[in-house]
Amino acid sequence: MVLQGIQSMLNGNEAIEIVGIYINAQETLQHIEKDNPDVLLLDINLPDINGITLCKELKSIIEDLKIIAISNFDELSFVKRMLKSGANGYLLKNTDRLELLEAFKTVLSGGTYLRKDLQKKLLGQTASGLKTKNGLITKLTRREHDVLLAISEELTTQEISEKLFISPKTVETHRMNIMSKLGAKNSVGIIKIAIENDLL
Amino acid sequence: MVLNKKILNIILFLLFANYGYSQNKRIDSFKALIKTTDSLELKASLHGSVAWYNLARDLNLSQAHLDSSYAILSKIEYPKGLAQLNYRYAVLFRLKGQYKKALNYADKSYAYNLSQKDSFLMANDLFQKGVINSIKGDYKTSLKVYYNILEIYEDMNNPKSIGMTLNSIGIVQKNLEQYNAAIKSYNRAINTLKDTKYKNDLANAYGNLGSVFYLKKEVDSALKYLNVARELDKELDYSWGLSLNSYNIGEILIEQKEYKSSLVYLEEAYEIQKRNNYNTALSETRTALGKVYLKLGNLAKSERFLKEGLTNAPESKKALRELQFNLYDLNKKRGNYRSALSHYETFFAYTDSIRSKENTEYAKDLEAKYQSEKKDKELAKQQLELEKQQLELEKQQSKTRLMTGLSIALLLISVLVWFLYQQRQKQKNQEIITLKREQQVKTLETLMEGEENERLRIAKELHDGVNVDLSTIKYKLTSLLEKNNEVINEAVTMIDKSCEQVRAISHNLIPPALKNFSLIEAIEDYIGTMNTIHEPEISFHHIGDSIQLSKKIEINIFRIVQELVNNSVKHANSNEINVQASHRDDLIQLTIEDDGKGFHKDATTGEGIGLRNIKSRVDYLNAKMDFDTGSKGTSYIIEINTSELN
Repeated sequence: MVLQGIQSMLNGNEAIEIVGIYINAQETLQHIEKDNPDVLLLDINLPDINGITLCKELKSIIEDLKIIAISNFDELSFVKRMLKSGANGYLLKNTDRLELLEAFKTVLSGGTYLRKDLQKKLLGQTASGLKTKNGLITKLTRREHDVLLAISEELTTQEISEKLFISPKTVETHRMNIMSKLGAKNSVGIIKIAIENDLL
Repeated sequence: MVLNKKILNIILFLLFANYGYSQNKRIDSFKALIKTTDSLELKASLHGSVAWYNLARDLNLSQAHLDSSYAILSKIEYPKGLAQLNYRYAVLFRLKGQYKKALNYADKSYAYNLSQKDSFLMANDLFQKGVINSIKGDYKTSLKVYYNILEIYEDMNNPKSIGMTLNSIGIVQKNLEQYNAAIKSYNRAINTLKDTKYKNDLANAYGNLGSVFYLKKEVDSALKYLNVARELDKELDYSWGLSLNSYNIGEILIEQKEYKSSLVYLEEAYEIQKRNNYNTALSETRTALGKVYLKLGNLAKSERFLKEGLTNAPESKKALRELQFNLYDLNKKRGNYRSALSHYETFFAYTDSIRSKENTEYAKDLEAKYQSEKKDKELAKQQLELEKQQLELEKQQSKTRLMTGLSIALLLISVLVWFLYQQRQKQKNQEIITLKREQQVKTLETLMEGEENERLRIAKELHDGVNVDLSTIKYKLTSLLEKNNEVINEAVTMIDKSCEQVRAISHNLIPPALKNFSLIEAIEDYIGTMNTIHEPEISFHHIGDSIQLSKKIEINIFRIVQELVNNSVKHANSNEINVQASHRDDLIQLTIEDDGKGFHKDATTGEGIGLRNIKSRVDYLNAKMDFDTGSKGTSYIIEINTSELN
């Protein structure tokens, strides 16, 4: 059904020629080299093989084949994985002719096509607090902050656990998390980086 | 077997006898036991005991029982019983005055006891022989025997037997007219017996002492000791002794010509002797009473007593002689000279006879009998006592041991039982707890499964059905779009939106990343979506190892995060929501934190119910949840131990 829809959308355009239609991965692999398209619209949800795996494989066969993923899933996880597997673009199944053509244009000129909202989503994710070199540190939770203060007061794990009414194991977990977030190697590092970043 | 039965019966009857019955009741119990017991040996012994008891009362009855005993013993093999029987026969015949027979039996008994080397019983036999010889007048032999016996008793350190033997020795010495020696013996006896419980023998000694003093004509001393003896007799309720001592005092008073006072004592003696059938002694008392009444001038009474004495004449020549003399005197007073003369001639004949043979036969007879009978009785009683005590002791010991053993065993058993019971209880409780938990888990699982299935169903339907249709419609419309129809454009936009919504709902119900990829990615997707849709700035961080668990568990964790973030978005009115998942070693720590306005922990509104749902999910994971809410915001921290998952 989707195929029909897309077909009908592209039929009107003289610039585009449909060279092949495959209904499963097997067929795709069999005919792809012979057909040698410029762009492949690849559904993630194929009956036999995962679209993501297929994408990787295809890319290894034909390097400069442009693959645009098409899917019902707008979840970032899917997007990221496809892109990681070498996809050059990601479209949702409710796409329209305009978007299709836009996508083709971008991809053929060497770019990566993502819908605006997907782009925003992706950026939003990456932006939210990964550690970068210019001192943008992951934000500590309130509990982690309490623990940090306690560490700076030179309290032992036991003492911290008693002070904050949590188990020593929990204290240790917090400590490890803090270390990970601040990028420190030990308690001393924790204090140092914390002070550098005005957390204490 | 038979012996055991006998011992058992003895124990039974001793216990029975132990209730402190008086003599009479004891004999009754013996008689009852004779009828009921199956043991022949015991029967024979019991007959013997009854016979023994009656020796002081009714000699004929006594002999009857001894004969019964003999009848049984002659049929069975019980030499010990036979020896005892012989001994008792010896005593019986001695009391009856049939001395030859008595000596015969004593020898038989002695022979058996000698073979058994039982010195105590041998001494008993010898004692009988001594007494009999003494009565017969063979004083030298009897003294020898007595000193033999005394040695045996002194070895055994038996004060009672020592006292009795000394008494007997004293009697012989008195008969030999060795009065001072006799007094010495008696004093020795008194000293031996004075501080013991053997008051009977002590009474005898005093009585004897009194008699000797009388013979020495020291009347005051005689009366003194006789009265002491009498008082002891009264205390002990000892009829035999009392009668004898009263008689002796009576005799002395006759000599002193105090006939009236004498009468008092003699009457007392007579009364006792008559009551108890002390026939030999009775004849002397009759003679004495005859004499006194004669002196007092009461001829009728005097005659009565003397005649009684004649009719009941004992074997003893001396007694008969006395009687004759008094009858002579009586008749003389009456003026029946012929009778008087005939009586006097008889008297003279006796005197001769006695003088030549048994001159003091009667005195010895009485005194010796007095001694030995008491002694025999005491010895036998003593023996019985000893046996009884022994058995009692043994019984007590074994009883105590048994009781201790039983109570310890009982204690141990009850402790063990209690302990086992406790264990079982614990086990049962443990089982109950485990079952309950399993039940809980099952319920939760069922609920969650149901929920998930439902969501899956809806999601699928939306995804496969509605969504596809909408897409198709959109394709169709877009191909018309060239016409630049605004209405169509709008329609297309609306369809887009619907698609979005449907997709959102579908993916919200079942996050596809969860099935296809990983928990973390699923959470990322979810947070991303929420971030786009809603106001607050929602961030997610994953620290540490990746999370790979069973789908059930992963779905559960996802739902927890979903619920908490949803809560925060809807109710907290916050600017920032922080979601964090860390996985290190076995511990997964989830943190969901916002800077909103917080809420009441005890809310029973939708929030409260939502929390309960989360709580049951947390419980399913065996996890701990800690949450804190206030003006600064709300924060939830959930710690899951992957090694403790179901």
